[in-house]
Amino acid sequence: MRFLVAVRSTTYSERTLDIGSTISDAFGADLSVVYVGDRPKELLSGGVRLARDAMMNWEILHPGVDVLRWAYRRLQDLEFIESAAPAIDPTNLVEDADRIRIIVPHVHGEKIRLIFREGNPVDQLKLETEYRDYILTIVGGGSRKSLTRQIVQFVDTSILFVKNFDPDWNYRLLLCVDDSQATKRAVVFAATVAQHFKTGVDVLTVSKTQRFGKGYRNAARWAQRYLDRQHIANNQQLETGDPASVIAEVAGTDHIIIMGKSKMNPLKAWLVSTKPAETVLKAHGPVILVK
Amino acid sequence: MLRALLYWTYQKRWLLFAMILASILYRLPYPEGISNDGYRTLILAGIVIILIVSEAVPLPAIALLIAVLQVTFAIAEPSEVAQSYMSDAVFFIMGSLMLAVAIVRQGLDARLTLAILTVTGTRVIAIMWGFFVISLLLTSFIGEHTVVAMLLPVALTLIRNTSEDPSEVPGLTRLLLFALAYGSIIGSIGTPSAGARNAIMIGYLAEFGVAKISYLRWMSFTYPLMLLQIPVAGWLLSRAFKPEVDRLDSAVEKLKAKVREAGPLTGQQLLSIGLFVIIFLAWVFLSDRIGLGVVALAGVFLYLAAGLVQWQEINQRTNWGVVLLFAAAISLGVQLKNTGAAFWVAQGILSATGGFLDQFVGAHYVLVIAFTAVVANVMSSSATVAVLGPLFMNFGGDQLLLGMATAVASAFGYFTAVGAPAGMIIAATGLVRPRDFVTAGWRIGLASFFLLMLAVMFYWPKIL
Repeated sequence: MRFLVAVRSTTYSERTLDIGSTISDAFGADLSVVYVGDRPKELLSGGVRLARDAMMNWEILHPGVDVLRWAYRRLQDLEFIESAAPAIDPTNLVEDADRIRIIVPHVHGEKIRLIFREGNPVDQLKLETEYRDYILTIVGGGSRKSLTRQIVQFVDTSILFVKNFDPDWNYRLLLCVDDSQATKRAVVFAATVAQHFKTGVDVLTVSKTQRFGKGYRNAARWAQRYLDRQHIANNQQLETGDPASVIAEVAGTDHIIIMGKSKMNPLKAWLVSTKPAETVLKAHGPVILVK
Repeated sequence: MLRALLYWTYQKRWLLFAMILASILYRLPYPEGISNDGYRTLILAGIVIILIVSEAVPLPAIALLIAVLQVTFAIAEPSEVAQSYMSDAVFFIMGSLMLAVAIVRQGLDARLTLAILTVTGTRVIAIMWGFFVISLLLTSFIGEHTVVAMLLPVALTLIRNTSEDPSEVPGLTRLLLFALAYGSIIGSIGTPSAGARNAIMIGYLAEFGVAKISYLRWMSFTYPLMLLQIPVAGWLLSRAFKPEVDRLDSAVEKLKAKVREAGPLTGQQLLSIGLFVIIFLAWVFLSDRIGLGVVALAGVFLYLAAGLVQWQEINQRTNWGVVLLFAAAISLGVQLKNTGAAFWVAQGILSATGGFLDQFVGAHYVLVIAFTAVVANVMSSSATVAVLGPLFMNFGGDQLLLGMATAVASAFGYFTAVGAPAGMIIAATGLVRPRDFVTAGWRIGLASFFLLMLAVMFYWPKIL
């Protein structure tokens, strides 16, 4: 099992990396850290390449490589990898396809991978998730409407949006269930996270009308039975209203929202957005969309 | 499947938009006052601008498309298109890109550093002036990406010697990086060899029978203007960013120690400097007769023959796609002129102002300078001159002055990272933000605008 965490800078990506390593630990997954930087305009890229070559002679690294080196050290600090592990050599790079990989010292060669890409973030995350078989992609943000919608729609893995993350992990899980196909996988995912962090789960079912259909009721019942079997404390909650708004309101800042990814027709999803994408945009805390 | 198709459509939306728009326009009856060829050339120019700005397809693909559509739109015969793809300006672009690779690899950056720091001492403001003036003067002869590529590592080393994390000294970082970038941008108007756009404009002026501009004649137009910008732009830049420290004593000492490790000038470096002096003199005294491009190619030959650079290195590091694109863009520019499309658009814009511009002295130049500067900040300076130069030269006024004003104004790429190579290079360090370009750029842009207007109105007419 392999997770992908996208980092952007040492300043803004610390929490994304922290939660990424913790979640990977919970699932016993390997972790790939990808830095996606801006690609210079093609018309002017020759000068940039020339400058970067000259910078290498002065031992000045590409900013992306610097961020990845920081990520490696941070993972050592977090004890995701041994703190005594040898430092990486940032000049030891392998180019495959349209990505560059920093060679990680042998002992950790499989547990973590450091990848460098340039270009549009959505394009590059999509390409990376197609290049290797990732289960979960962990990204920061979740506030920019267009970017969030595109990531939800085009990155074909489960996705964790690290939004306003509390590093002390004072969270319960808010598991949102409905009649969608991905709900069962979301329940299983939530159970694993809850067991690892020894936290309770609030199961929420939201209907747009006063009537809760059979599919909704069955999903909620199945989730409760599954969590009970796993000995995870859980509460059931039924609410009505606009799903994204209600979920965001119930979750507040002290819940991690877990829900299934939408299976809506892609064209319709692109035109009118989806419940998961809208939930990410309205949420005040982290959201996990399970594929 | 549907999702993949949707994703492809989203990625290629600008290509699809350009193609659909072109198909519709192609089928419409062409307007009065323009030939069929001219109308189709305008459609092609529209497609090219959309594709260059959006980067919906790779640049070399745009270059190929220009050739294909010139022939299929029946704008020109295949042999005519093929011939228009190669000119002295294209030779110059090709030669200067290769020369940049040859010069940067000589390791002269360390020498330059020592020279700059010996003069400036350790005061931050003096170092900023040092970087600003040196990059400006050097760029005026050898082109901005060469100079910034050589001096950027030096500036970054100074910053890192001050603080391990440059984000802790943002004011210092921005001050030094923008000194380099803006110095180079301003210097890029100085001589024909300072930037591809200058060579392109010289080519257009000659091709359209407006004037034959020699290396020294170009300098007589632009060098005084460039020198005048040094105190103004330097002062404005020094006010734009406040460094966290006043002196860089230990950072400079560390840097000097590192530079001294390189030892004295090697024979290879001396030869490299000697060859560049020869190239420069050939540009000044021979380019009238044999062309700027041929001199640049001769320079590359000399560097290769002397063994100062390997062909593999030049081949690997030269962006051949850019050469191809400029060849195509110049070919398109020539067709815009030859088919009368450039004249038609310019006259259309002028008549749309209802004679308003004629009421003010110099209003035509204000429009051209402002228009060029805006487009250059979106599409990059050289592409602006290559595609739109012929259009701007028809804005009602002296064509030579309009052409020169266009070339100079295209260097006002102060406001965005994509306006000029120097801006893109410092942006690629990740240490400057897009809004920093505006913070520093608007003051310098405004000052450059007024100085250029003064030159166009009062100085240039005197030396015509």
